[in-house]
Amino acid sequence: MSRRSEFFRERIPVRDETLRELTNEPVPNHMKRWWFALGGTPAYLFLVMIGTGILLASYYQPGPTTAYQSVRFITEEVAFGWYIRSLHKWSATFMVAGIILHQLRVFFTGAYRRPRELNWMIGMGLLLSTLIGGFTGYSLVYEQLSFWGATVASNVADAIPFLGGFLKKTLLAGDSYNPHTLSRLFVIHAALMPACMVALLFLHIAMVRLHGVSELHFPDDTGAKRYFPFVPDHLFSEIIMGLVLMIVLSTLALVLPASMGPMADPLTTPEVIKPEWYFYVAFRWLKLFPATVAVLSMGCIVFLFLFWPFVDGWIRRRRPGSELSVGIGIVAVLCILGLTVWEALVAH
Amino acid sequence: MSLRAKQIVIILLGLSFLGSLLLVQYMEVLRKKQESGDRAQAHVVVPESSARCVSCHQEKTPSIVEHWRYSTHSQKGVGCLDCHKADRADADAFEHEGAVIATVVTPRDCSSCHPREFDEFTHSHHSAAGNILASLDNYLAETVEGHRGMFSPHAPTAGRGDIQTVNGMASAASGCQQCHGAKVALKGRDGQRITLDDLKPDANGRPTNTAVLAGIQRTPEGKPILHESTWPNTGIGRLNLDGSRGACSACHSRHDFSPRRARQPENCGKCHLGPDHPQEEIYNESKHGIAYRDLTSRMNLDSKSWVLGQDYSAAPTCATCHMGGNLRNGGKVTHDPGERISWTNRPPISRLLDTDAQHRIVSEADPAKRKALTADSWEQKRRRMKDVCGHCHSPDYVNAFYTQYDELVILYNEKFGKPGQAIMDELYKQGLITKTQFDEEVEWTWFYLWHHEGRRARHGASMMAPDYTHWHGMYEVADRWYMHFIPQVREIVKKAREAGKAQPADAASALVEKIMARPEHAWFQGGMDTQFEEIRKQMEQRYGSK
Amino acid sequence: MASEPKTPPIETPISQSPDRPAQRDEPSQEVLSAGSTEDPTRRDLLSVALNTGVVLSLGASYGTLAGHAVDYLVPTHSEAKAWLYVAPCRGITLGSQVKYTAPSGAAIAVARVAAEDSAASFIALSSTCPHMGCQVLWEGSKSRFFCPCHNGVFNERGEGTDGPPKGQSLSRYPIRVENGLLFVEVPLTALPRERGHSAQACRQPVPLRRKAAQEAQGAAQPAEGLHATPAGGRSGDESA
Repeated sequence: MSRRSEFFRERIPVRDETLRELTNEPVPNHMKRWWFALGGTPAYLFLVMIGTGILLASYYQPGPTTAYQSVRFITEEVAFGWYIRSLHKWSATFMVAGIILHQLRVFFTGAYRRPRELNWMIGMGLLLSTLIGGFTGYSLVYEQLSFWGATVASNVADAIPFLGGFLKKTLLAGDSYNPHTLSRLFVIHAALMPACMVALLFLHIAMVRLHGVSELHFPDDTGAKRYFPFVPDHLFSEIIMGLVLMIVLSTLALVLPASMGPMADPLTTPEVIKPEWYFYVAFRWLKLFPATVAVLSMGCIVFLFLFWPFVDGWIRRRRPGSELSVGIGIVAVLCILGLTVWEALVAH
Repeated sequence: MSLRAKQIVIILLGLSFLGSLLLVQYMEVLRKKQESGDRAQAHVVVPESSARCVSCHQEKTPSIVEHWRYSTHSQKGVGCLDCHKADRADADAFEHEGAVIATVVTPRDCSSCHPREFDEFTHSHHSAAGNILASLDNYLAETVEGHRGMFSPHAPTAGRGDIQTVNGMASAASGCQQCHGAKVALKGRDGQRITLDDLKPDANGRPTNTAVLAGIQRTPEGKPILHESTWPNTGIGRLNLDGSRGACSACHSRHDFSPRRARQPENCGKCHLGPDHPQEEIYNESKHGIAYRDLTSRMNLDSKSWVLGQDYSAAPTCATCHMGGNLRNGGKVTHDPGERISWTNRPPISRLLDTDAQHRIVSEADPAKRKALTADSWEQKRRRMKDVCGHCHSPDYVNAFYTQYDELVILYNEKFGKPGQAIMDELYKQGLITKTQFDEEVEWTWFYLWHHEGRRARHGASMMAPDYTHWHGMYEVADRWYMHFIPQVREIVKKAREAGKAQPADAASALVEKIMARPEHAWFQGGMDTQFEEIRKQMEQRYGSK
Repeated sequence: MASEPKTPPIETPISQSPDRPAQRDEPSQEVLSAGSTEDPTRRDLLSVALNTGVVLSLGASYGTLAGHAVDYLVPTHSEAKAWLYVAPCRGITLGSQVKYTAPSGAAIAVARVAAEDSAASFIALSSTCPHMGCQVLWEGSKSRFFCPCHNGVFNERGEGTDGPPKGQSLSRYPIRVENGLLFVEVPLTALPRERGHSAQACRQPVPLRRKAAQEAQGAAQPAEGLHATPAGGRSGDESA
């Protein structure tokens, strides 16, 4: 053993074995199927978001007089600014999509069931944090969509009984959109949400490690060994996935770079206004029901999903062997898909 | 997928990713190139000295700040104060938000940066345009059209109880002076005008007669009040309080001081149009104007340098021929449009433009003396104009054009101008008409003949407008002469004779009949029948018999 | 995607597999020996090549990305500058000094050092002390610049004559003379700062409104009183 490694061994008292154990999780064979490695996608995109986000924050200036100009500065004047901003924007879209696909897989394979109920809830926390991050993100540009998006969202919060006023005031840093609102949204986007997500992500992965990945068996899985090592096999898979994502993101940045809409005009709501696609469901829901009903029902649905493992457990205890849970899942997916497509197809 | 296969896939994907990043870099380089092209375009700089002016005026008078933002001045850091600053000793200076400024910016102010232009302009006929004030021309507006002074209205104006007086000079103020230039006046406490005549400005434009300064009427903020009948005014021969003549803004509109605008014919057309000198209409009729309208996009009007043959060649505008730089004169722009004009067609009889050292027209007739007095001859001026023509036309073509032009001017001069002037002089000399201008019909007739129709004919020929030369010009001159002028003169003679003034009547009559007996007028006196036969023969020769 | 959810295995996701292998499993011989018939040395060579390839490929691509990020963070385009008009050359006489303030707020002392009207005859001195960056002050009576931070002294040409910056000079802005007009190239971007009475720049409407209110109340006489004061003050100024 060289003296140098002795030096580090003494100061970082970790045994090689422990280190290998920590990093080299044995991976069940079913994970060789790409469909089951979706959880890594949002995690990788999260890293991209952090990286590009730090770069963007180094030029962004929150505040109604400066925000739009500084985003324009990033997009039009800083070297590679348009590319960094496009990466950030497209990563966000892919991250939401990745999380939803990951969640669908977990839902329909029942991987959330006992004893992994808590990790499902942590995952839900990650999804909600991502959505909040996405919403606050496009609010920061201070274009028309930013302003009216934030206005609508604050009034959605306002519609919650009892808590509403407090939430709206907290979100907007005042009774209505005001000069301090953007710094508030910026802090939520660039500090609060990332911090929450780092913590949740740590818990999420720790729980996976503690429980081990839930194993699945497929008829064609005939190998004698049921596991393969994380390093290098799965690591390579993750690297491939990361590279594919980077290529896709770069291509999108080149072909459909993040643009800038007209600057916010607090006196004129645009004739056609839509949030990002992942809020189409909620946006359509708000058009269907009165504010309080819509907001409360959405809250209930979110709660139902949050505690789904327990609901599912209750259903299976009451009616063992039934496929009711899967049925509910399919209906929910179809509803969400239907509302999203509906919203996407019509102007109003 | 085997581990090796994965490794190969990673290598390939890594290279693809590298490729996409290089593509990103390529896009960035393209964008930078385009952007640096954009940036090469002018940017606006608010100089520190004018930062306060701009911050306030962009709310109060946003348009003038906007005009200025598009000016070359704003790109070079020339701000409000550089032009508007004044010395406390200036008659019209006042303190405004911590700066001593003046409202009217005069050529003297401009001269601190543009001395050559100031010099050329001051020597030009343009700068003397204000001298017509209180002259014969102005007599029309001040007396014939209006009244020298105030008079009381003779009937009330419904809805306006405040009209107590009628300003007899209103036509002069809104008409003549807006082109020719007003004599700028401050309002005295007694309502009188305080002009440069009272201030007696020194070489630096500072008033030497400081006694009148105390009498200037001021607003509560201390701003001296300019007399309404002399300001607003951007007449080209404005007589300013500091003794300088002219207004640069006459052509280079404030506050954008646009060279682009001054290069366009419409700019000159503010004054050079109408019945007495329709240069703009003449230009529009000419092939020059037609080409300009068609090819405006190729005129490079925004260019900093605007040298004919180098920066543009599509068409000439007024500025091209009379002022602009061209390849043959080394690109020298002049602010004295008279430098290239060989005839002056302004007076009743066109004169050749020999000018003396003081840039005044030499009127000496004796050839030797005339030559001695002349500092810049009409031939030199014509040569300068021919330099311009030569960018498009051959020397033979240009010379032949000038022969056509000269012949038209000489025809007018000899057939109508000189005889008409002689007859008018004789009528005055013999006392057959009063010294008062425009109180007899023949005076109006004569004025129409030379001042309107005669000029139209000559100007039309000078700038290639056949319709103005003929139908609006010589045809109307002839109609005026034969159908109005000569009959009116004969009528005056007849009335004089009836009134017993036989001797003056005979003298005038002798002159008129001598003129009308000349061969060019003989057709009118009869004997035309033989001439018709001659004309018919000529026609047959030319076109063959019918 | 939809077929898998209904496969039976989902009902028993296992928490801790009983036959879970020891953590220190030998590195996946199974995978590495995929093409096991090959010659061992060639196989080693191939692994080395592939491993190097992976490292190089990843290094090059992510390295380029990092390079872009550095380009993004380090501003490449220099500060916006422009050639700005200062004064006509003849307005600056030998030995005199003209104070010019750049749009960035930088105070610049422009002085003539030779008679002819060329760029070489003028200097435009920065007022930033080369020692520690404080702003120097012009002391007209001693015709010198003085730096209040560490007692630096510069002569009228900006050469350090005393104090820590002795031997150093105040930096000079580029000068251009065009048609007898003096231009300097100065930075344009400014940080916000207190600028004279700029806060009151647009206060004028207030007295006007007050005046209108007074007139509305029929009190027109204060305007007359205001009129006399500045006019009188001015004529006093002019005689002085």
